[in-house]
Amino acid sequence: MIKKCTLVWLACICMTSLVAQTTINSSYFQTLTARALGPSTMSGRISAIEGMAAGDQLTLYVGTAGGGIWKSQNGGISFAPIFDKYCQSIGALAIEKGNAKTVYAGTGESNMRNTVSIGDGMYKTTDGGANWQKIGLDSTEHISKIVFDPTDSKTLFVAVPGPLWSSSPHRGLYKTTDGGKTWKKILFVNEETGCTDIAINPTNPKIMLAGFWQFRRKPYSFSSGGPGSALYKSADGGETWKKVTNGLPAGDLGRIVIAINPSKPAEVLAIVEAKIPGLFISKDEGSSWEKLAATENITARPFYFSTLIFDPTDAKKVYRPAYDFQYSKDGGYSWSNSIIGGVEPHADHHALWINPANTDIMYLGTDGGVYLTMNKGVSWQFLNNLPVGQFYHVTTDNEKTYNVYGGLQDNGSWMAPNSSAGGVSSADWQDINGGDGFWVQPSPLNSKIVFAESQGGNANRIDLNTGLSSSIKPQKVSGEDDHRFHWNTPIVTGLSTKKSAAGKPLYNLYMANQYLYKSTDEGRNWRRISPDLTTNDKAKQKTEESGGITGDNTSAENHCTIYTITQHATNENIIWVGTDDGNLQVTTDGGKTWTNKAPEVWKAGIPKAAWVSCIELSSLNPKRMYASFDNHMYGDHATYFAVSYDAGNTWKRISSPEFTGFAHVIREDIKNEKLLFAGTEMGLFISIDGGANWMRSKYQEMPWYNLVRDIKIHPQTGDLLVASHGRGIYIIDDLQPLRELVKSDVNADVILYPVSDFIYDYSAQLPATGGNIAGYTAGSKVQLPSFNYYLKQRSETATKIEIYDAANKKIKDINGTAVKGLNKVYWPFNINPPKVAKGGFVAGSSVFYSGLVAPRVPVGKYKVVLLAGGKKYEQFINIKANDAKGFSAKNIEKLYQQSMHLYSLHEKLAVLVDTMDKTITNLTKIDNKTPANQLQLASLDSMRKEILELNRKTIFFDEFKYRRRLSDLYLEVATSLEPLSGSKEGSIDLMEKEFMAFNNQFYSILKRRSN
Amino acid sequence: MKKFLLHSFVLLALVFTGFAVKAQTADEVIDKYIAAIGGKEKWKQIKSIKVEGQVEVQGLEIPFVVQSVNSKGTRMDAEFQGSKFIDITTPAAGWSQNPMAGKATLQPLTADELKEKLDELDIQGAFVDYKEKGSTVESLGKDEEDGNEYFKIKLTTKNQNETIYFFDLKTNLIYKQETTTKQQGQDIKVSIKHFDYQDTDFGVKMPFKLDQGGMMLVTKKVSTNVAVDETIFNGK
Repeated sequence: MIKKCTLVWLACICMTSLVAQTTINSSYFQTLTARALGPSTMSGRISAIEGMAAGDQLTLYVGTAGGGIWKSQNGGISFAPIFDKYCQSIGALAIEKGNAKTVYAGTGESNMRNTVSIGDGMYKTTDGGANWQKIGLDSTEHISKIVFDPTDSKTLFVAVPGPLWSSSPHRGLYKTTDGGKTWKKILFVNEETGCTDIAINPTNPKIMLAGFWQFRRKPYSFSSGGPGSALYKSADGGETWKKVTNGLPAGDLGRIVIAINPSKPAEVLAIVEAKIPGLFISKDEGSSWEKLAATENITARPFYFSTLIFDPTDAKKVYRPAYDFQYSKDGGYSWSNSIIGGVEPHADHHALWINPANTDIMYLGTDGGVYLTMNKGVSWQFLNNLPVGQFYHVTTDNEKTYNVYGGLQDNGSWMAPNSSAGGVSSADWQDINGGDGFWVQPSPLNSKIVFAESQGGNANRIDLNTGLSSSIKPQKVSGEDDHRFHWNTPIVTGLSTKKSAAGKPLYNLYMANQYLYKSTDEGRNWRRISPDLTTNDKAKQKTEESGGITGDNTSAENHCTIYTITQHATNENIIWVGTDDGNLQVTTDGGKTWTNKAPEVWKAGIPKAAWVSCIELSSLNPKRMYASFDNHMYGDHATYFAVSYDAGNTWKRISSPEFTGFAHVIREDIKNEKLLFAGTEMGLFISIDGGANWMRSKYQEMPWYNLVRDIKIHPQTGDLLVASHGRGIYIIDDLQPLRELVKSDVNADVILYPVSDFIYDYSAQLPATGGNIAGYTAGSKVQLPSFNYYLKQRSETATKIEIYDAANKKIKDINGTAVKGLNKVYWPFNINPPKVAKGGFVAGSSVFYSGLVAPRVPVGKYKVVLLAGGKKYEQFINIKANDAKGFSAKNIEKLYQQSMHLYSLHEKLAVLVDTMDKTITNLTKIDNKTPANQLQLASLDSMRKEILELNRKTIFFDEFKYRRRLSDLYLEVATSLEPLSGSKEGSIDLMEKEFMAFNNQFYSILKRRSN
Repeated sequence: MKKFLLHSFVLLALVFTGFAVKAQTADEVIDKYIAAIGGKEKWKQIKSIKVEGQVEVQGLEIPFVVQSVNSKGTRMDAEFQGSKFIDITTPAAGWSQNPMAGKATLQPLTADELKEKLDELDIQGAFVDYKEKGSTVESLGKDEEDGNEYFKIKLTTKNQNETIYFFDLKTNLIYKQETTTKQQGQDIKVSIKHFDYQDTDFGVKMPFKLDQGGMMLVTKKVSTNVAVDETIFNGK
């Protein structure tokens, strides 16, 4: 018995080692790099700005709502992201006094709007953001402020409002005395009330004030304020606290904002949300208060505006960035919002940093990026370099260079070409609709007609030819309930086989509130094709009561609405609809009858009221479909995806230990059914086995925890587009390598994949955006042949690609990459550059560039050899003509021959000059030179001066000797797109003749020597 | 049977946790690295070194020679199309010539530039006896990079230059180093990946290929303890 067991164990152990399969993770497709399209032109919500001026650098750290942390070393002239491996929603930042490299970051923004993201605790860097360590408070979800004890850089206080959608014991005021190694909760009120603000007296740090706020969102309501809200004061450094009421409003309070005057610390201002909200002043360190005359501009929307800041040196100057920028010159008694000159900052302000070294200079964080003032907020300039837009959706059209469309949080709807000369600049983006933006859909038949909307279903038809826009929102007619349009109302198009009475092809346009509407005339007429498809729960339809003690009803809490619509690609009678209250409805007869499949989904473990965020119908198998569900509005952050293999009758949940974040979208590839993409609030996930296993996208040059709201695969190009709610649009050009990987034997050491044909073409160079208005600019699509190969492991030795022509002659060497998994190497379809004659100062001249520029190869078949791990792998590539663009085989061949003629003259000249130089060296060495020797030397020296530019000492001196003239002509031809015409071709022969003359001259001088 | 299974589980558990959980300190990682590259004693015997190779980028080949005498001087000579590039560092002064950057002849380095180059004078391995050399290390823990897990260590030399090294715990060799240098007062990050480790004739292991953003520095020949004429470190 024991023997048998031993054998079984041995067998098990052996098998484990023998069949160790290569487990693919996302590091296997590192070269599938996304282009981050941005843009920066409308930027996105900024939640925190901190800075420090030291040495030659003005360092800024900018925290964003969903785009991580960005650092500038030059006062905002340029930024780089420094938090791309972590949670992207930032609540608060704090820099250690006198040390711009030590920064604390609290994740989870606390501007508690309906779409606010969540965080996962505190992080710290000690090297300016290159490396971060997680330091606790993991379950806090939202962090609103981090404040240092002014006397001790290891002691910090962190204000934690805590979860928005659920009760939580993790709310409160936290303290660390060891730089974040350990934490103590020093003030807790109850599970519904968190700490939103903390202020420390700068001269007596024992005196502290803390604002506590009771708040809660539900999917259909928001409640700000309650008996838990209060202002607290401590006089012993946070050990004990007392509620402060003297002079503050009676009754329930809401969110409280506190600012201690640094020049006069006994004086404190506070904005207090109450039935009658107000701005209050204390002159006794916060113990008693009196109301000031501030208007609604100062007190509006407390859940969204929580910033109040004194000038660090001027006791009278105080700033209230809120709906607009308010400033006071008399300590808060009177306020102005005048803007003179510059631009008006985007509305909705959340952060302000004042440069203490020069308090005229301030940086303002808004819903639309960062603004800079140099005159204390009277005039502003936009920093057009932060690509942190919060897209909700992305779509494309079918133009040759396709356009990208999408709507953004508080930033309208925009479009841009996916690729553009000189890169897709911020100026390439065009604003096509106002308000908050969500769905944008171009007409599938005419991309000059685009549908876009603002919140609550206010949709327009935009005619890009005329530049005019008309409302298309469906209106209530007799027999209908009041319409309930979602904040993010779906607008969807679908192909149709029908034709108009005049015989023109039609397509379907859909919009929805609680009913589904269809239009076949671009939204002029709507046909209601469903009953109320929601649960129509009246208890969830009281948005007019929403807001809590301060009313706030902006359609953000509209509920029991349709949230997603998908029409079948080939059968327009099949339409699926998902609602924000958990219904999953289908019609197979164009809307005559509907069936709610939600109970089938619940059986798979999806919670009952979860929002149906996406329905994806397979384009490869009519029975297969996917859906994503979002239950975070009930405090449940789990990732819910489900799949059905029988057209929605039964469902199976898709789970993965890799998943984090609530689910927004799931897509199946249009070519390979094993390839799936999923987006959650915390990342892009990829499956290459039909959903059994998933991996987080880490190496696509996008944040690991990117807020992925939408995904689209472009049908013609196979490009993958990602709408990020915090980092703009990303495009992974061409999924083909990933499709190859799915089919590969990943246990092979090396695979060189078949190479796609390349059709002669060049990236557009013109017209390009003027450099000064480009702003953040993304790369263009690369128009070059590429070689994709797979390495099971990162190669310890470098890899190389060699290209051979039809005569099996090596014409090009390319350094390869050697990363694990997919590798991608581009070939500028040229040969190696020529060897150019040496001598003299050549920097910056055409002689120098001749040694870098190589002729492009003619049309034909080329062998591609990959050298990896000591072995060779071969494929072939066909370079094909492109007659439509004028790149005919004949023209390309002629251009190549002309280039090679000059190329060979360069190489022959290099040999000639080298031989001459050696001859001169040898002659110089002769001790007793004969007169003949001396004549030879003199002749060679003067000949050398005719060939080489030896008088040139700087790049600003042009000297035209033979080598320079040859180089000029070579560059002209080798970089041209078309061959020299008959009238110019003679210039090459002239060069040849001149060379022959030099060559003959040299040998006749040599002859003289031998005579 | 039950007892045996239990026993096996315990054994297996012990084996696996032994591999997986044992936390490494920076010094353990460094010691293994030094052993992997030939050992401390061997490196300390290196008095001078001559490295010949070429920079390879997009089919171009730019030959270079580096000659160093430990703690006295180091000099790099490269040539491209007749233009000469030279870098010289000595403990007291440094010079560079770069016709592409407006330095047609040897020009002295500024104090800040020199400070960043001074560590190159140590040719006996930055981690060999690092404490005695006045350097300090800080463990930055494990991190995922290019699909593999690496152990990150920050080395701060006595010249106050900081470099973050990524150690591959499978090979005990360095995969990557990241340095932040100052240019005109602004921080610039430079990262170099190490490939193609080979044993030299002298018996130490070195990366023969260094990848700096697609530019490959390829070592062709390493000569150790050869005579180096120290007058080449005179920048005049």
